[in-house]
Amino acid sequence: MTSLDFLIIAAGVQAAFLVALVVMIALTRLFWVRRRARTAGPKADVDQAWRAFMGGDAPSAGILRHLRRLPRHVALDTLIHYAGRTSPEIWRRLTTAVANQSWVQAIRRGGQSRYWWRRLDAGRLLAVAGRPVDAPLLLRLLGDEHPAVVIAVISALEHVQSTALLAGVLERLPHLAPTVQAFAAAALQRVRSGLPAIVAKYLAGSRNRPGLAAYVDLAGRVSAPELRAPITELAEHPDFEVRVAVARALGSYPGGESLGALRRLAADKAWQVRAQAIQSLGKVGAATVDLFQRGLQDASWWVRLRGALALARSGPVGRDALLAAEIGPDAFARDMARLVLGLPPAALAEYQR
Amino acid sequence: MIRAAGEQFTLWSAWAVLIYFVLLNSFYAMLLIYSIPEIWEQTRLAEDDDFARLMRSDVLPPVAILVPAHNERVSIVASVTALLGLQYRTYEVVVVNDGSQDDTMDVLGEAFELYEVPPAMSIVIKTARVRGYYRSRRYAQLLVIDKDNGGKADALNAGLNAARWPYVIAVDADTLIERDALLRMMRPFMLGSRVAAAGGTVRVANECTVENNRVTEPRVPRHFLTGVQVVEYLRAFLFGRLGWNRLGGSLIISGAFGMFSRRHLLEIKGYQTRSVVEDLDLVIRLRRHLRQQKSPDYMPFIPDPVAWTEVPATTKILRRQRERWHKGLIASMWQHRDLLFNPRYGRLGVVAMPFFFFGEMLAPAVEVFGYVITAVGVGLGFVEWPFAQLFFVVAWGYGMMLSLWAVALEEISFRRYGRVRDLVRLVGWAALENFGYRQWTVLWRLRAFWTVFRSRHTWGEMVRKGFATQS
Repeated sequence: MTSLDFLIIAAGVQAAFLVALVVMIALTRLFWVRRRARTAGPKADVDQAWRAFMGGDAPSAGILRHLRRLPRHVALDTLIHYAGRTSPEIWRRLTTAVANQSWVQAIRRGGQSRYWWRRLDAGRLLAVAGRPVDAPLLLRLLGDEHPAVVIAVISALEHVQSTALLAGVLERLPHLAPTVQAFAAAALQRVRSGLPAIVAKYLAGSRNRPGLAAYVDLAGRVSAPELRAPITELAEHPDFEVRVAVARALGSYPGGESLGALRRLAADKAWQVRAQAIQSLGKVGAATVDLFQRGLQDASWWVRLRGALALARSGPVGRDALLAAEIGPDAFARDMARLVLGLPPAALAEYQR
Repeated sequence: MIRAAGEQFTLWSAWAVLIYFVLLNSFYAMLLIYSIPEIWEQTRLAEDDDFARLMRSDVLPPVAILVPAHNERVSIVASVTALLGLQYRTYEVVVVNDGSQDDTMDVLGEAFELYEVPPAMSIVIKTARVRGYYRSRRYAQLLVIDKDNGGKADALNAGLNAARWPYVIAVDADTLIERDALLRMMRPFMLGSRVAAAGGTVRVANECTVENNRVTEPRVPRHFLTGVQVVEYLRAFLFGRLGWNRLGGSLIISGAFGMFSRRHLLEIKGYQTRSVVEDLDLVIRLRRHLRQQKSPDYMPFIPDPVAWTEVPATTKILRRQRERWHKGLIASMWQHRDLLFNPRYGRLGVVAMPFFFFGEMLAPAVEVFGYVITAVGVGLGFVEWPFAQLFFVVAWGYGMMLSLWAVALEEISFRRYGRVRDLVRLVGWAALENFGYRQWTVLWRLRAFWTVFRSRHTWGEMVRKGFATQS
């Protein structure tokens, strides 16, 4: 074969590919247009049946019939769409009715699939329509390698009353990335029932438990009186991240015991702990202007900012302290005081978030 | 004797060029294959309404948007207002007026009721003199910095010093960011990934319908020059950068729309003011730094957060832009040449750098050499004319195939261009791009080799028609 022959073959193959690509583009467009047209009718029907069901004029059978006409994952999206728009009692009735539908069972079976998107669909379904019997599958999905699946399972905490699932999420909490951890903590916080007792056990356990800071943060979010003492006991922890978490958590627990611990933390050797302690003291409305003033003279910019903001929240006494710092000898404190005094209320609120 | 040597040289050169393009195109084919599972995953997650709802919770990290501005009086108020209306829980907008000669600063002051605040912040990176810091009485999350002219990189460094939040997004003042783009950009955080930087997609806004600084109806331009750039951008972002996600990340995160960890940027002393194009240099230095620190943080490209930008509509401006981009590429490759084939830097040293060095930087030189050698070969009778013709058909056909593949990916995934006539235009521009446009850009890029060491480091000049007339 000469090089010309080779080029002729290459050109021929390429031409075939080009034609195939153009045909594929056209067919893809056609597919989407037709699909949109095909699902528009059933979606409108589901909507109508939904409204009738919500008004008490019709049984759930109408919704189920129309959902069946939709492609599987469009039906799932539709179900999720309605999940947040109804009362828990009505939603429970609907999910019970939906549970035996063949398309729902197929999605649930996807929880065992080797493809992550099928497991994701199963997780999303169980997040809104899961029942206690689904707890084993949810626990299995909680350890999934794809983070989106794990997030879907964490969302299921709201709908699925299961102690095993709750314990599973709590156990997994320190191993999650910070963002997902915060999301899981928010989900756990919404569950609440039985949670403070379990969290207290985690806090009272080994002081070297990995991810202790995550449990302290969670305890702060839960804000249950029985958690104050175990949090305060950790104020002397050798790991500064735990102390930061303690300082943050105590911001949700106003009271004398917290104030004592926060005062100590405001003099911590780590600036992150000092900044957080001063922010929490400002948040709980503690009359500790002296501490805030000291914070305003701190070597760390963040501590100075938190000190100045706390003073701005402390009424006339705090404002006087800021005005004094504005003309005081410390150049850093002066700049910070000027910055905070110049902030309008909206900006001040934005800074204090 | 001389004729025989000439024939040998021509043939060997032709073979070298051929092998070069076979290797390069094989690499592109690999990127193309890698882009398929990436776009599948990203599309699945992007379409997930449920996930989008979760993203609006308060768990995502706060972000600072840095907007460097130089002589932007016409568009700055609309741009900043649009940025202040993005969907995101906690973010601030830091506008840096880089010594504009027009009244950009006055326009900003009037529109946002600015008042001066003291510079109560730690200055980590040295910049040109800052004249003042201003906050707005109307928008708590707006900070404006007025400084002496020092170039775009210097302006970004001033913004970086002043930014309060752990992540910064650099955007051009004339870029239109979609309302939910920030949320989408932060998806890797929601997925628990450790991210040092992330890039979003930049699309062409020319001829799109723009209302209140938002693209409401995407359109594919009717004009050749802007139309082919739509295909070019699709190709660069949808399969080029997506494919790189599976190869350890690209070396480019667009300066018009990219997110970075502020901590990492401060560690590498921010943007380099001597760089011709600041974004490429920044990403290379950042990746080098991460590798040296043995940091697991990575730099993904996320296709669904979209920013729209106006692309050059005249050959004069386009030439300037492409020359500047290529100068930046050459300068960065030269500056970081120690990374080339350096196994200590992992995939950065043995995959990304060689590709950008040989496949991107040298490509125009090799291509022009290929044209010349073929022409000489045909002229002297060493190469047969039908063979040369067929060779060009195959070479251009391959380019066309890559462009059409990008259009196909767009059609499978995001389908931003809803009208059939836009799709037809896209296919048309993808087919025509290789006839004229490609050759011109190759020549402009080649010119960059001559001018690279004579460059001044200032703002890239871009004459824009503006978006107001397009709605």
